[in-house]
Amino acid sequence: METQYSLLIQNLKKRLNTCKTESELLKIKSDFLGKNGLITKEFAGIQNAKDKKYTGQQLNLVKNQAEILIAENLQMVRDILVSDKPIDISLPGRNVSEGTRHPISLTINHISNIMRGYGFRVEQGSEIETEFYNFEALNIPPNHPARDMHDTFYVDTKRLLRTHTSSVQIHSMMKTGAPLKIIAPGKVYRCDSDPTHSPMFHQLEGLYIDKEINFCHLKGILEKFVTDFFQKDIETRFRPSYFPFTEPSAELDIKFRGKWLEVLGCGMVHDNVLKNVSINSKVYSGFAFGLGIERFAMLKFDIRDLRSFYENDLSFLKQFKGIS
Amino acid sequence: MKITTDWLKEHLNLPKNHNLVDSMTSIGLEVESYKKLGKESVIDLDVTPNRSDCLSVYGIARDLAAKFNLKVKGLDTSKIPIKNSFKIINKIDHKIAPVYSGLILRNFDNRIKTPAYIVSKLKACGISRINFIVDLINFIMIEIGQPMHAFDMDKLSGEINVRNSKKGEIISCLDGKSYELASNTPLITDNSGPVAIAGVIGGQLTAVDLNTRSVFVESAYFTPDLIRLSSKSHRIQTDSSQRFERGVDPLLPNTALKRLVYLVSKELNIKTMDITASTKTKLSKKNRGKISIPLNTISDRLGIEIKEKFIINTLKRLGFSPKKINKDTLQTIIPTHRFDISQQNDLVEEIARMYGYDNFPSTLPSKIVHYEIYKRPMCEKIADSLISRGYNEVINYAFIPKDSQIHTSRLDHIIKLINPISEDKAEMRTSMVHSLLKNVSYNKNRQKSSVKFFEIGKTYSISNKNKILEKNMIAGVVTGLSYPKNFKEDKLPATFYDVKGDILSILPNLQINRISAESYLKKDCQSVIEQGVMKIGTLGQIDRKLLAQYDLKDNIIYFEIDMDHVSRVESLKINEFSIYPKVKRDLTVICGPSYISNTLINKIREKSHKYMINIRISDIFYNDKYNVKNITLELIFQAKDRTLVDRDVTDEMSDIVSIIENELKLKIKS
Repeated sequence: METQYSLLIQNLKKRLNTCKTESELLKIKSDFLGKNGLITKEFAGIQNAKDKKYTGQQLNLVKNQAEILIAENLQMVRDILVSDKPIDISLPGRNVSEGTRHPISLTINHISNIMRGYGFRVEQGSEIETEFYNFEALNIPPNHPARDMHDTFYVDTKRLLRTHTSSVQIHSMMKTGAPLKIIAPGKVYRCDSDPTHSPMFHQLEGLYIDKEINFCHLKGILEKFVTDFFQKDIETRFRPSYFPFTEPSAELDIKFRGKWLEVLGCGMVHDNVLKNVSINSKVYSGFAFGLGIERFAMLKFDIRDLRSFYENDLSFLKQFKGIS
Repeated sequence: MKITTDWLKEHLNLPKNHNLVDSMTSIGLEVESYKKLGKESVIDLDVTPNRSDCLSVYGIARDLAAKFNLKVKGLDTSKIPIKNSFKIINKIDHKIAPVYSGLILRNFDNRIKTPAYIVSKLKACGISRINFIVDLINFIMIEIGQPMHAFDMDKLSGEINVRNSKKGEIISCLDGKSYELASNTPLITDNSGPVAIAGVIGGQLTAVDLNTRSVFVESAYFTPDLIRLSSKSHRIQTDSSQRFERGVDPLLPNTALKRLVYLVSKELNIKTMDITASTKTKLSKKNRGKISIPLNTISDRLGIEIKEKFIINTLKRLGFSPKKINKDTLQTIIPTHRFDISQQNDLVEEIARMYGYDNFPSTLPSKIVHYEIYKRPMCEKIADSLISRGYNEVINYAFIPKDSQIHTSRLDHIIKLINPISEDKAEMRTSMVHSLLKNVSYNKNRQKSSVKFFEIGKTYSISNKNKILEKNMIAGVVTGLSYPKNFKEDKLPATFYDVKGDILSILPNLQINRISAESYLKKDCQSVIEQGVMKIGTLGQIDRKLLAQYDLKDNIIYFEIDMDHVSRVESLKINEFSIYPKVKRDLTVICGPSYISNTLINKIREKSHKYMINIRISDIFYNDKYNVKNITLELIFQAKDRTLVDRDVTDEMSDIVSIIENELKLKIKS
């Protein structure tokens, strides 16, 4: 009998040794001393014992011992977390779990904040568009060679996934007319996939229409933007390029690690585009620009592989802690 | 396109130490790469689709010369006469070919070696050697931009025509493939049928080879749009089609023929009687349009005063012929090689390009357009809350694999792409759940089994009336531990209640109390998310069927909120609050194990109470033995104007007890 009881205590001690939390302890307590606990059950067996009195005494001792052991352990577990013990300020805080924004969102927000400071309003647009908004109104008629620059996903014969955020320009100009000062960030789609191209990516479109807006203003605002974004003076160059919806058209390059790097396309809004949205180009003029968010995010955070944006690996995502 | 610097220098007197890459960049010729290949320096240029005039060494030289005020050297050509009549060219559809010229070269040996200077240049430009006459034709295409095509005279039957295809016509082409021609494809034909797809590719049966003794060489101007359509519909892209569809100078075909004769005669002793050349022309006036532009338009658009003299000289150097038609206005004819110029802003761009973009000052506009009060988007606010509760934001493709939405969407609501990039990106998502489950599975396979993700994005669907609906959503997924492990603390798996807590913390006045019936969520473990009376979303545990699709077995809690239905809390008025002490009373109600406890609370709240100000569930106990659930309520009483006495509370408590016992027919635990 005695050995049986000492075995109970030994088992209890063993379990207490491996137990770390309060709830585990409470479980052990109920396993031994609860209604159906191991020790409780022994009491029921006293009736059949030869020497009921002796057995009862022994069992009470065991029960007391168990209660003390459990209480001591409970005290130990709780002690660490209660305030009357010296606080080890270097122990981890509780429930720390700060999440993160995606670098694409961080970059869109960063750019939008800068642009808002220049008086641009943020607009949203649909991703599924008609050919009119994505191409025709932007001076890209059917069969125009520039459609080669856009490998387009089609939803049906008339509707497509927008190939650029420039479609938002048209909606905004038709809705509000001039003057206008907007940016439009969002997803765009091209039928193109390799290590440097993703079939879905993000762009941010900008449009500024007012009286007397000229090419020097385009340079002024975009150079300021690049400086504000990278938070340092950065060497830039504008070079002639081609977009059907702007003229003159330009690419803005920045000097990055000693090399020229293309970061955005821009230009004075084409007369045909203004005509398409009934804005009088004799009174109003303006410029538009479009930039790739992924490119800016890669430069800002030194991200090397385009694919990391869409794999959503926690090891990648959780690095963006505390950025705003 | 690739060119070599030496070749360029044959046409252009470049000053010593001229940085070619920089100057090309400055006029809009994007240099993709600059490499040494043997003795040659090869420049690979990305020519924008509007500048077909720069798809040749000569064209590039011409543009550089205009910018740097240099001279372009003339071409050596033969002086053969090109007449307007010539038997072999019969009927030309001038809508297809406004200019159609050709020459016959008889009695030569095509087995002779192509001269070394041509071979090395073609090699550097990435064009392989074929045979003498074809090499020369390719050389001239790169040199001046005119694609030509040679037919073996002995394989042609009868005369050459240019016409549209008829139904059912077939041609075997130089690429070794046979094409069934789309209707109205521009063709070159002889008496036997098609011998070339005009401007795109030649036919196999009339191809020039080493045994060729006589050739008919075609040199034409084809209407760009027609060639483009033809190239697109047959999916054939050649150096020739690339140039014709963007526009080749209509004055070039005859120059190219003369150049060819010159180059041939340098290698072969040919007599003039062996060459006959002819042309049929009907040039439209469209290519000789005029533009007038007020001088101040140029300065207004560009932002600085640009001198009249600079404008006139620049335009002249670019091949325009500007004239002042009055004090303030210029008029000019458009050069035939500039297909990109038709209106005023095209001229503005030319002036800006030649002036140099970097020579314009950068200025900021002095005024500000109407400035609006900024309202931070709701999704940004929600994102902040989720982040502080440990969620990581993800961004996923909007397209998902074919047939993957059977558990989550009506099939006729799914938008399928006509030309998907692959089968696993074939449909637009109608729900965010697939993307997020994919993220869980991806990370689980990389030993990250506790995740909390959210995504701000769109879902896409199409209605029976063919209307497309894009919804702005925030959705999230939680699995694994509710919080990261800490010492001495319990590792608790995240449950419905954890995520419910997260959602209730992101927006005020939300209710998550009503069971929903989404088939992809586990029955009885899903709820509608409501804001006021508006349903804004769903919360629940993912059903096993859907989990299996992603090889998952875990407990995964998912939520989605339709941001288009979320309303902003714009303002509120505060309530007067009491300064007198509160009194608490507990009450335990016995009910069935799946009783929705909110029914109980709502029923009590429904009635007006004088002093009861709050109810809270303080404990839930499942008594398996009797198959019941005990709900312990904590009721709080307070008066606005005085301290409550025991009787006030006891009276109100007995009212509440009677509601529970008589109206809800539930027992109260004594």
